[in-house]
Amino acid sequence: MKAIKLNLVMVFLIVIFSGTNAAAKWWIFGQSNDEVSINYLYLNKISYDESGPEVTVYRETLQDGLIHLTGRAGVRKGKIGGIRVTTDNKDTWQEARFSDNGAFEFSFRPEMNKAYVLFVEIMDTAGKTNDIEATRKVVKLSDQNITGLVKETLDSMIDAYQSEDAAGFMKYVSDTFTGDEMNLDRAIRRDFNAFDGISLRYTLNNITAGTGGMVYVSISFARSVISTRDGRPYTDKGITEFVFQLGPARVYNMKNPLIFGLSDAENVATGTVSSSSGELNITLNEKNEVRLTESGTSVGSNVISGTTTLRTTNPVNNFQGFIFADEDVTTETDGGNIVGDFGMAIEAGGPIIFTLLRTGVLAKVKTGTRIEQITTADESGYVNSVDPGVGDSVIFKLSNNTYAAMEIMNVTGGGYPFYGTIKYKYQPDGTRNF
Amino acid sequence: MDRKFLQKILCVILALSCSVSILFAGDNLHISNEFSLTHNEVSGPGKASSSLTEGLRYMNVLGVSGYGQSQGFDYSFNIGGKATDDLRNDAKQLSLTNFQFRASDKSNTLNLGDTFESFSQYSLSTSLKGVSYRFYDESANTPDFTIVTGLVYPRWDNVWRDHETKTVERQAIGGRIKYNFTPDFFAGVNVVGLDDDRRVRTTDSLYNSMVYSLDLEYRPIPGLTLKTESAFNTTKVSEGEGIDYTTRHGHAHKFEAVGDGGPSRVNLEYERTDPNFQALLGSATPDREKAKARWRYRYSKTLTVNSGFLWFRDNLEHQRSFTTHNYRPEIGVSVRRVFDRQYSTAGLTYKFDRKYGGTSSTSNHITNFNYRDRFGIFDSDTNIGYTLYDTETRVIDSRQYTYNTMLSSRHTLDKVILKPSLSLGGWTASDELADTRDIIYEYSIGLGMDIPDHKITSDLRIGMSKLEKEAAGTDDSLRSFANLSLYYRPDFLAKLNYGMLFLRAGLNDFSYTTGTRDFRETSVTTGLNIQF
Repeated sequence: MKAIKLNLVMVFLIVIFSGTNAAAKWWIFGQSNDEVSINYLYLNKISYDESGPEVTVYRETLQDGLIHLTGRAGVRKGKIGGIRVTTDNKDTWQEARFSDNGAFEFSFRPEMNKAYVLFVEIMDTAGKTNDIEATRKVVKLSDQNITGLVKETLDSMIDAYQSEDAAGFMKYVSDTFTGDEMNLDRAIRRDFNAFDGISLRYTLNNITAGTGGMVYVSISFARSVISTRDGRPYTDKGITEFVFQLGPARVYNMKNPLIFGLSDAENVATGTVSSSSGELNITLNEKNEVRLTESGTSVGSNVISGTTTLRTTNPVNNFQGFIFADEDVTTETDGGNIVGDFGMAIEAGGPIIFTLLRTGVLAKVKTGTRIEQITTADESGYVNSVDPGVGDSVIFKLSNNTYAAMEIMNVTGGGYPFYGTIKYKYQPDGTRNF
Repeated sequence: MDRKFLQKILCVILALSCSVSILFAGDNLHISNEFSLTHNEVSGPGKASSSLTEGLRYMNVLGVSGYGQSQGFDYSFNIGGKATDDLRNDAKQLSLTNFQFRASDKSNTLNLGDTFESFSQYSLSTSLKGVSYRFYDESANTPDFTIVTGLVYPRWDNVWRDHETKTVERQAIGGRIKYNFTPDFFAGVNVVGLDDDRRVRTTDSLYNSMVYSLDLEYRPIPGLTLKTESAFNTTKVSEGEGIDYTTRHGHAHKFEAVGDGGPSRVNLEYERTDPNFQALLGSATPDREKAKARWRYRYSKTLTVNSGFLWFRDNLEHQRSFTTHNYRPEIGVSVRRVFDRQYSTAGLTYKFDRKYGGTSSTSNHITNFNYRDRFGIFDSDTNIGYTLYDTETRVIDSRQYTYNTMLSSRHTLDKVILKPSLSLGGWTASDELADTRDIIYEYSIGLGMDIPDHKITSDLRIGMSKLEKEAAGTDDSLRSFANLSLYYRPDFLAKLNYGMLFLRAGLNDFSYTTGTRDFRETSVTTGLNIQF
């Protein structure tokens, strides 16, 4: 392990120092050696520097039909004498409004599909100017439907995701992604380890361009993957939502059910799409195992789950119980002295199932509910005695304020002993999320 | 209301909208329509695992948009619809996708239909089906005032409450006042209310919530931007039919500093979100304290360093049994013109994941190396990755290696451009807990062919991906695939702004160790996309 780390450091250093003709400068954040400079510049609230040499502005996102330049100029000596902007490649110049502290603004009404070549000139009272060439930017106003732009971006993201190209995918994620781009980057890499043969298709349900260059997108998707954990195919479908920031389009937030980064849904998604369809979606647990949960909400990071069988030799004094935290079936014990979190006594004639709870444990029956449908434990309504039947689920609030759930799958045996098979899951972190 | 009746109304609205649009919008009207027919064939015992719907299916997506001026107002509209008989593409056969009308003058803006007013991160950053009004006179620097109300639905079909798409009815109302005190400082006050009604299932939760937030942005010195938002909410929630509402109070705070100047861009961020803060219309993760730093530094014209650090934890109110901490530092270096080679670019990134709390503890290391270059007539792109998943509680301990390379080229033969490519890749995972090794091999060859004079672009790709697993009870799989896409913009469609015929065909054959999972899917789609 140490050798690997050492090798990594060596490779790192070689890459840094190979083939570079670096200038001898260090972090000069917020400073410039120039006499006259621009400290910051925004085009319709998007950083001039970050938007690249060419910008396409979409008509639907212009609230007042104008393109706004806002910035702040700085002069080393003296005062600012004037600030001018050209939109026609220096053929004509127009004065920008500015204040004594260097803040300036300039607006113009662009025409459709025309290219504007912008330069910004700052001049101090001694006649010195900024590096005008460095402010060159080509701006176009497009009447292309935002739908086309969003579709193009989503297609590119899906292409990168399907071909498991993490760097290619992250190009379409905003620095201000609300689930944190560092979380999403790790999550998609984990997705790529967990899935093979990813296939994603979608259709657009709704696109709404908003203020501040934001676009809301709702899609219906259909997906199939092969789990590298068990080698099996999985498929699901659903409705999900994104918000994109324009200039160019970058993902700002995503909701459950996720189509990207589902291995860390808890951190990547900020919200869940309102749905009552009961649709189960693919998600991944800590072990990279596929789980199907409603709306793809996160499988709790520490959730323990499985299937087991509990035996009843005598429903009064000889039946087994279960301890969720240890996933242990308790030894047959004397009735009334419940060793596990609960004991399950099966009585002939029905069969009738008594779920006996240890002191401090409360429970709530979810009649006819599958355990997969229980993604969140109820907050209230627990009692200290329940009698579920086959096909019912039970949510437990344990004495240490953690939550568990089980579904009674079936009861077998023609007479004593009876065997009850249960599916269970346990969330040890104290939340109600499974 | 009767579904068919509503669908008829929808058709009439679309037809009327198109007609009225054409009459009034003149040259500023744009219509786009894409019609496609898809034939899917799925066979084999495991065909239920296919995400395709068998048979011949159609899909039509229509969009109408326009803009103009009338009586001193700029107006624009945007209407769209989708029709399909493939329920995997959409639960509805016919649906309205967009319906928006906007009118504005120098200081007033009215929006009807699809309404997306993104007030701030915590208060409102989702779309409504409703109405908004904004007043702002830039020349007089008046307060920027916006009100909005509507239904919070992801699609219009939710409004008609059709059986297939019915969901809890969620109404929202909100307002924002923003004032620019100086060109370098503004403050915004936001109030947003939400009220749920009409459960679909007895287990649906209903919320009633109010969020109050204040956001500020200030540029105190050149190159530095400070942003902050504080929000407080009161949320009442009933977690099911017959369950009383409980009330929660939560708060969230965020502070961000962005330094942008010279070769550096620095982001610093701190956020604290209470466990009871529910951003039902905004964007936030409850129960989270977070600190984040990111520094991008252009050391020279050829070398850029990206570094970042993220820390977050939960259990802010000590409501959990234990606290989970996450540390996620990373560093990356990108170098152009490596060894003075004109087209070369190398990148190396290292990311570390540390997570611990209670009985769990993980330390994951993710390293990737990328090299791109041109060798003679070939462009190459190679990636090598190493990931170590290491958990103390034996959840997942695994060493994973990824390696892939792509060679591509471009040749012009008279009027034809050929773009052959070859992709080779693999993935190896050694599971130390199960003492097993899994391997994926994959390769594909492709040939792109463009004929610019005839406005034809096409691409053909054939390949396979094989997963080999060692663990008992798991399946090996082999996926063979062939994909063809062809796009043609014929002259007879040249009168339109845009007209394109397309054909997409794909074959996927899946073969598993468990033969009952095998299936094969063939899909052919042809269509026409027009815009004018």
